Amino acid sequence: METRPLPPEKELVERLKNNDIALFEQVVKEYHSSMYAVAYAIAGSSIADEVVQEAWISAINAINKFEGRSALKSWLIRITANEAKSRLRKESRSVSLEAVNENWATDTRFTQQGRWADGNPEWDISSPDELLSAGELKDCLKKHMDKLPDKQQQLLNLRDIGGLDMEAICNILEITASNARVLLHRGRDKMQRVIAKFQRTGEC
Amino acid sequence: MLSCKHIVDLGTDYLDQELNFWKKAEMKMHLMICGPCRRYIKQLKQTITMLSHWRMKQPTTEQLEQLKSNYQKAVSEG
Repeated sequence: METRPLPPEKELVERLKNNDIALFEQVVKEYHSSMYAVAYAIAGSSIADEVVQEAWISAINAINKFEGRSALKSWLIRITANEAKSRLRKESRSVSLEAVNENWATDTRFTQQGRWADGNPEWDISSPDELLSAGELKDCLKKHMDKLPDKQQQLLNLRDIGGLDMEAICNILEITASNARVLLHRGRDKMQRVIAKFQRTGEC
Repeated sequence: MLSCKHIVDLGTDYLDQELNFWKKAEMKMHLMICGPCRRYIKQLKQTITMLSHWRMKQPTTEQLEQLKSNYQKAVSEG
C-alpha cells in the first residue's frame, strides 16, 4: 500500500549483498516498523529507536554471511529481539498478569444467555488494507493500543506487528504459552471491537 | 453447548490451531449455524492481517541516511 512489493527472497538477499542502495532503503522502510514494535515491546520506548538502529547495523555487518535459511524479515526480527534483550532495562514493567476475566461478566456485546446482542454486523470493507487507509481509524487503534495493559500490548507488538513466533515470545516475556495466547487474544479482541465500533458509528 | 461469548473467547486458539479435537469440532458446529460468530472469526482474521500490514513507525530521514551510509560502507568493503 505504502511501498511497492519487495522482490522474492532469494533475489532480495543477493541484491542486498551486492550494494543495491535503493533496495536497501526499501527494505528499511518495509521492516522498520516491525522491528520497532519488537524493540519497543521488549526494551521500552526510551531506547527502542537506539535498539532498532543497532540491530540494523548488526544486520548490515552480517548480511554477507546471511545464508537465507530463514526469511530476511525473521532474521532481522531475531537480531532486534536479541539486541533488545541485551539492553533490557532492569526495572521490570508491571508484570502482574491482569485478571483476564474481569470484564467477562459485563461484556455488553452479549445477552445474559451469551448470544450476540446486535448480531455482530458485517464490516463494510473488501480487504484489511482498506481498513488501514482510514487515517482516523489508525489514530483510534493506536490510541486504544496504548491504553491496553502492558502485556497485551507487548503480545500484539511481538506477535502480530513484529511477527515473532510464540515460543520466542514466551521466552522473552517469561510467561507460559497458554497465558501468552490469552493475552494475545484479549489484545486482538480489543482491536476488533475498536474497528467494529468505528465501522458502526464512524467514531473512535 | 458453547455460547457465542465462549466462541469469541476461543477465537485466537481456533485460528492458531490450538484447540483439541473435541473443542474444535464443537466450535465448527457452532460456526455452522451462527452467522454473527462466523463474522467475528472473519473480522478477527482481518484485524490480525491489518496489524501485520501496519507500518506504524517509519525511520526518520536522519536514521535512514545514517543506515544507508553504514550499508554502503559495509557492503563495499565486504
